[in-house]
Amino acid sequence: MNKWDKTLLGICLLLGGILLFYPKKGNTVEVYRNNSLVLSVPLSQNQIYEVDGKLGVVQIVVQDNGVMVEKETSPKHYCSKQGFIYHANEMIVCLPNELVIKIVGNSNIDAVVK
Amino acid sequence: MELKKLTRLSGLLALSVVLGYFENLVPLFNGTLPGVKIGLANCIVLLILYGYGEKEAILISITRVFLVSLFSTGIFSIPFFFSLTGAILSILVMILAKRFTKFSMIGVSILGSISHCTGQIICAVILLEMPSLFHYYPWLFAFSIPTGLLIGVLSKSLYEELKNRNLL
Repeated sequence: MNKWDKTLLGICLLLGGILLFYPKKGNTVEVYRNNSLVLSVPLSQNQIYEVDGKLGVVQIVVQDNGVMVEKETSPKHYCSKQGFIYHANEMIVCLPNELVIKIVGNSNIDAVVK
Repeated sequence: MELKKLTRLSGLLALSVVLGYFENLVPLFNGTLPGVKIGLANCIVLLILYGYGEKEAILISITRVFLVSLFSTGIFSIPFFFSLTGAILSILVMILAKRFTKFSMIGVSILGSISHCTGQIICAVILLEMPSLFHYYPWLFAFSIPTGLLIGVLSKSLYEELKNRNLL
């Protein structure tokens, strides 16, 4: 491994890091239950929302351009332990309550390739 | 083409097909990151590029894509075009890097790995008409660096060993 390789590796790692962690701005919070949209609210407005989950009411807090689940009924409380999410395409999944909460950006297209 | 070279190249082609097919059977990270793989077949392409030459490397690399597709998804299917674009872009970048830069096999391998995933994602965006697929590119890019490094180190030691034993 010569110095050229090391330089290349360094540049690539830096570029990869920038690409991965470059904050993608989102502006809308969307909540899905069983793939159907139940709530769509702006990310910029601090407010507390309540959504019906399978096991009970789920309390969702929007604060300082972030979203978190405050209270929910589930066996292990994974989604409330996850805390705030801030960037587009990040999501909180609460399987026991069949809920998916995610931040979407300006383009509302979201695709998964398998 | 002289007989010895022909047999050795065929052997290497067969090896790269098996490696490529084997990789498709073992998805990394339980398949949560589709398209991320180690790229073991690229190791053979690198060996041929350094041991024989550019024409041979292009030939083997493209033949390999056709053969692996025959075994897995079928020829002229959508994944076939992903791997074809990736393979062509990757081999072209590796040839240019070998000719015009001072990178050793490791640097060439990293560049090949990155250009492979770039080619694939460009092809996917065009074929599936989904620009949002570019959201996935940072992940592919990030994973292509360690895999390229791994394959580069592996190919380099393999190349030196094979050269010493006069097997390439």
